[in-house]
Amino acid sequence: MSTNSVDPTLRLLDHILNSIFSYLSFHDIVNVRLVTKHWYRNTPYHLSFDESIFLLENKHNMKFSDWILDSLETSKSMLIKAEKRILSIRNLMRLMDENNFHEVYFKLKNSSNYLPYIFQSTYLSVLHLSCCTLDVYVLNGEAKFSSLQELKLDGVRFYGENLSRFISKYPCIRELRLVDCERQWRNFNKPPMFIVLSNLDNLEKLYVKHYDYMRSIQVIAPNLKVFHFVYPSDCNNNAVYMDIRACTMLREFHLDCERFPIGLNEDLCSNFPHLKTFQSLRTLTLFFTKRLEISTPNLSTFKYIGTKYIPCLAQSDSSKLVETRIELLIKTPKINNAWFEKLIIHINNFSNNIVLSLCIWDEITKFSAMDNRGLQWWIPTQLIHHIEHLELDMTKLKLIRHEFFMRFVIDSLLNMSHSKTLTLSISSYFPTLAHGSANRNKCWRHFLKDFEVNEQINKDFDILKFLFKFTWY
Amino acid sequence: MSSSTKFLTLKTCDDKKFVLDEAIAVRSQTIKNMVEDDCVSNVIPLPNVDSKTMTKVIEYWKKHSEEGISKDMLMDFDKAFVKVHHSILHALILAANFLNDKEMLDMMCQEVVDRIKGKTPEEIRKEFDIKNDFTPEEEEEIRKENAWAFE
Repeated sequence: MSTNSVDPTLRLLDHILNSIFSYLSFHDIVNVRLVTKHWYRNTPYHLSFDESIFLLENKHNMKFSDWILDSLETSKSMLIKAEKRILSIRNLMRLMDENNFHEVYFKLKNSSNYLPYIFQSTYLSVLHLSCCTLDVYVLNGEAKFSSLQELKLDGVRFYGENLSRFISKYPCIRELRLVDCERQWRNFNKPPMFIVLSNLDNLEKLYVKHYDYMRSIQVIAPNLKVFHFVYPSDCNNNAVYMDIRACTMLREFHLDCERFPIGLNEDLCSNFPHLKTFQSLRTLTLFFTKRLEISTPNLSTFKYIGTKYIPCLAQSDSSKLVETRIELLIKTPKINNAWFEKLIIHINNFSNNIVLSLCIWDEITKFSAMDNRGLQWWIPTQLIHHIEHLELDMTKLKLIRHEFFMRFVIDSLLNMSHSKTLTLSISSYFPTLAHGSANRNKCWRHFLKDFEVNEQINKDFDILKFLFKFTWY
Repeated sequence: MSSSTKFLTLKTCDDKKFVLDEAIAVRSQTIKNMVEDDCVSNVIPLPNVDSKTMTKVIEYWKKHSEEGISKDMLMDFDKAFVKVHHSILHALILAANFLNDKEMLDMMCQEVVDRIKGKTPEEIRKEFDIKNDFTPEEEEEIRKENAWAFE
């Protein structure tokens, strides 16, 4: 027995630690492994076998099987206590039948030869398959396997509707992860990828990531709580058709794709009634072209970063939001009277303090006092009281002819918001623009009682940054 | 109590002696083996157990040997018994292990389990006064190993 007096836990014998850790769930084990080296060494470890060795001759298999048997015997107690194990061979699975494991983690890579044996298992609870093919023979029979709780398919190839059929064999899965599964083709035309996941009543967590063209995804999982969908782009920049209306219990929805999925685009709220009522959805994160993000953790904050505002994402009842931040990265041609009109309508959906941050991220090539419909520019007159803070970044605009446009944006924002503060970042080519903003005789100026302006110290000499504090009547 | 009641003297590592009814002492499989093998002289040395810990162990043994004690009362006793500082908990685990009292060992281990459950590594270290001996790089490496569990 060790007599280390510095750390009492070090005095615990390995077998005691093993015994203690054997009572812990896998997620606790993950934390335990990070506590100290001694604990790390004593956590149940994964047995990992390289299945390629089974592609060798039979006689070698036999030897290896003997070795496995021997190894099993010597490490039996540890195996029984291990929470999850990586096993990947049929012989081993047969050997495992003798033991009453409550959870087995099966990882198979680059080989589908042993897939049928997996389906004979009635105790398999976690299955990870990567880089193998789901052929018809693995789908023989109508048998369902209710022991499986977690399924991860990475780079799995399949024909026809085998993927959906395969998944339907496991009606009790709670967690499903599909990464870059590929539909195979037997002729010259590559078939479109579609995923249909139905009758998965126990599914709670779904992660789908796909790089190639995907036509559609339909999920019928009434208890789904977390859904990640990652679809960076394909060569044709196609939008995927998504139907997840049946997922009424969704609490977290993470959408990361180049184009907003068809089926959600115009009517996200009606797809998720809870988005309106806040009863279910807690987190919504959207990434579009890497510039759009909406996150509503516990629905107390709302943050939006994007190139254009999507009106259906504005909650009809925002009274529970403590903080709302809307950041828009805008191309200048998009900013016109119509754009401001839309923005006002959208922001009117919020009833509390908003930080509105606009960044104009490209240079305008031409600008005239008329918009592209030939109409005169005018300053929006509708007032939105709940914009607390305005942030305006126009540092990309550097030409003298941009000044009119810049004034238009500043005047429009101040006239529509009467915000308490304005943070203005502009190029140093316009040294008088900031001070002139507040002094000009614009309509909003009549409502202004007093204002302060401070120039912020900026390390970048090309950029001027000002903080305005306004007092309104 | 029958006239055949035998008493055993247990001597802890700090030279304290405990005289105990053999029927109670043989809750320890270690002591039982010694008695059955007839290798017990006058005093049974317990080189791995100190007197403070032994007092607690005997308290546990006596309570669990009481006649007519209800299950509920035992459960309440056990609940209170394990609510000790982690250093005492560890000492009791080691003692239960040495004395080979599986019932007691399981109970103490369960208490450690309960104190670990749901805690972050840092919280666990705090609970048990454990020093983090991982370098940030090593910690990162393990996190990578377990990455799939964090997904």
